[in-house]
Order: sequence, then C-alpha cells, then structure tokens
Amino acid sequence: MMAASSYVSMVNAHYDEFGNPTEEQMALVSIKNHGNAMNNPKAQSPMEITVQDVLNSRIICYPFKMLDCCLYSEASAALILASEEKVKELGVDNPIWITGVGAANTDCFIGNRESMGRLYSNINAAKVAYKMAGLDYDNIKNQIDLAELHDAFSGQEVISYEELGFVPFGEGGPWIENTYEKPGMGPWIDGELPCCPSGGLIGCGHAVGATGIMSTGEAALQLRGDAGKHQVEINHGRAISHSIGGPGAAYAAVIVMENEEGLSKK
Amino acid sequence: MTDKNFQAHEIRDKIKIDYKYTYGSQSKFFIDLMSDKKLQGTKCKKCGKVWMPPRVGCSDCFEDTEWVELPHSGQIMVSTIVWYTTSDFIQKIPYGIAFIKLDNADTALLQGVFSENLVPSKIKKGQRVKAVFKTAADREGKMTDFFFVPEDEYEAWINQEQYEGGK
Ligand SMILES: [Zn+2]
Repeated sequence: MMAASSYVSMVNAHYDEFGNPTEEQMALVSIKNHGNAMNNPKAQSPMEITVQDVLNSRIICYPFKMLDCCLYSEASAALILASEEKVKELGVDNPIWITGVGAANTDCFIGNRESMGRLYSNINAAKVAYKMAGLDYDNIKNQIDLAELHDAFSGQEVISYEELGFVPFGEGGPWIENTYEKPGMGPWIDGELPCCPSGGLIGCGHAVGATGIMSTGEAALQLRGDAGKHQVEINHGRAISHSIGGPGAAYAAVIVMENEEGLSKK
Repeated sequence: MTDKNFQAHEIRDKIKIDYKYTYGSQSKFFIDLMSDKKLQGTKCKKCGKVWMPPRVGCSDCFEDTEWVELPHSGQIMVSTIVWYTTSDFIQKIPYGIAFIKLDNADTALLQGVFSENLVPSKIKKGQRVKAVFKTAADREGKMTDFFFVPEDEYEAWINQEQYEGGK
C-alpha cells in the first residue's frame, strides 16, 4: 500500500463521516502551500495554481490528484539544540525555547481503528504538548502565531486543523473554503492562523526523516523574524510544528516553541 | 578526488538472490487460503474479538487467540480507486482497494476490489462484496490469491476461466 492510498483511506473515511474535505477544499490547501512556497527560496515546488489546475492534474488514488500530493524528496535539515544553561553561558541572542513536546501512537493498521477518519495520535500529542507549554487546547488558535503542519497530502492537512484543535471536528474543510481570499481569516499566509507558511511538505518537498526538523526549524525562523519573504506577523511569540510517521500514519509529534516575548507574556 | 581527469570505469552486471521467508504463526491463513479457499480469522480466547487479518495474540488484551473460519462476504468500510502504484501492480490499474469487514469479523482486511464498473459511487462505504479466488493451479498462498468484487457481479467473475468462487 502506497503512502497516498494509506492517507487517502483516512481522508475518505473523514469525508464519509463529516461530508468534507471536498476535492475543491483539498485543492485550496494545494493552492495555499504551493503558493506559500513561492516566497521560500529553499522550496522545491513553488507554484501559482488554481483550483482547476489541481482538479485537472493526474489522478493518483481517488480523490487525490498529483497536486494534492507532496513530492518525495532528498534534502537535509538541522537544528542546534542547547540546554537553558548553555544558552545563557553562550549569550545566544534571541533563542527559541521548546516549551512543549507531545508524542503519541495509535493502531498502526487502519483496519483495526474504530473510527478510520480520526487520527487519535494527533489529538493526544497536541494535548500533551499544549499542556506542557501551559496552553489551552480549546483556545489554541488564539494563542499561537503559526503552525507548520505535516501536509504530506492536502486532505490530511484538513484533518490536522481539527485534531490539533484549530476548529471543531468536521469543520476543517469549510474553514479553508470559507476563508479563501478573506484577509485575516483561516489558515492562509495572511490569515488568523497561517498554516505551513513555508509551503509545508507540498510546497517544500518531503525529505522523509528530515521533514520534522525542517518544519520545526521553519517555525523557529518565523519566531526569530528570520523567515524573509514568507515571514508572518508574530504577536504571541509562539508557534507549533507537527509531524507524522509510521505505517498508517500512526505516530504523531507536536512541538510548541516560544521566543523571549512569548515566554514573558504567560 | 583531486585528479580532474579521473573517470570511473563501470561494468553493468546482475546480482541474483534466491531466498525464502515464512509467514510464521500466521502461516495457517495462507495455507488454508491456497489449499481450501478458506478465510481464517482468529478469535480472542478472553474478550472474543474476531481479528481479520488474523492475530495470534489479541492486541486489546494480549491473550491467545484461536482460529475461526469466516464467511466470504462482507462490506467496505473505506476505499479508494488506485491509478498509480508500485511496479508489481502497475499493469492492473485502475483497481479498487478497500478495508473490508467480513461478516462476523470485528476488524477490517485490506484487499483489492475489482469491478466491471469501477466508479467511486460503486466502490464505497457500505458496498457488499464477496471474495473471488484464482484457480488452484494459480494460487500460491499469497494475498494476491484472492480479491473482492461487488456482490451483484460475483457470478460474472466466477464464471471466468481463471477465477473461481469459494465453497
Ligand atoms: Zn482480547
């Protein structure tokens, strides 16, 4: 079973249960992330595309089309981690603090899952990470500036909006659709909670193994104000990165990061 | 490499490896599939949960399970139609794949769904399906020994020379 058919099973089950994401809503995720990549010089797949371009791209496994899928890629990413003591000793300017970490697993075999349209590892990892950072799952959208999500496939980013607490269950698809071309709203780069401002996996390419580091590094760049042309507005001084792996996308990790300002506001 | 004129000399050759592997304690499923067209699940001796694909230990309560023969009919829990795949199956696209809950089973089996009418409105949740097998000469004790078809197409499929129905 390919990665695409594994993820598409979850997305189709989500559709059966909630009536979304539709093909058009998934295409909007593709437009957003390929579009965000236009402003990221390190991204592999920058593209200015339309809903129709996505719908007309080659079918991979129903209803995923080629432009709903990330590119499997080869690349590297690195983070420099240090203890609080070391950061102070070295006098590091503008360090980004990891204030919450959560990781969880669910059944590896999709056929064993009671509810195939849910990824319980995602909600469990998110709740643990948010709690460690002193944040509120039910109000997370108003406590962070951006999220770098694991958008290996467009429809799966929509499920992440729900599992990570940005919108109620079943409202992920409508969230991106109803906020299209409405500045200050939704997961768009100029929205209320920009998701994958770097372009994510769909825009940057998916260097399996390095991807989680890339997403975390991108969130750190944003919090330092070093993201260049894809910099988003930082008000809370706080961001999350999210990654998924394993058979049936069973494993999930969520990391909360804060700059000095974010820490001082709590 | 400092020598700018260096050129690697390449020879095209082949490595051939013969090897075997076993299906371990799940072997009975594949042997009975190959010899008798039986679909064997397992039932937990403690909680009674019926696992298909079979598990020798119950994933819920870690108790031993026992073999239990399951019917050849069931329903699609979730599915997709595949248009791009690995080299082993590329000749067969497009085809359906689905997580199928056999009647009497508590978990869903991942298997191919073939149809004369391969459209999302037919290969979808709730669709009743039935297992079709390769003929004895073609069965190897592998998952590709059988597949599912929509129940209303069953007779047409088993009437083909290269396929047969179960018992
Ligand atoms: Zn049990």
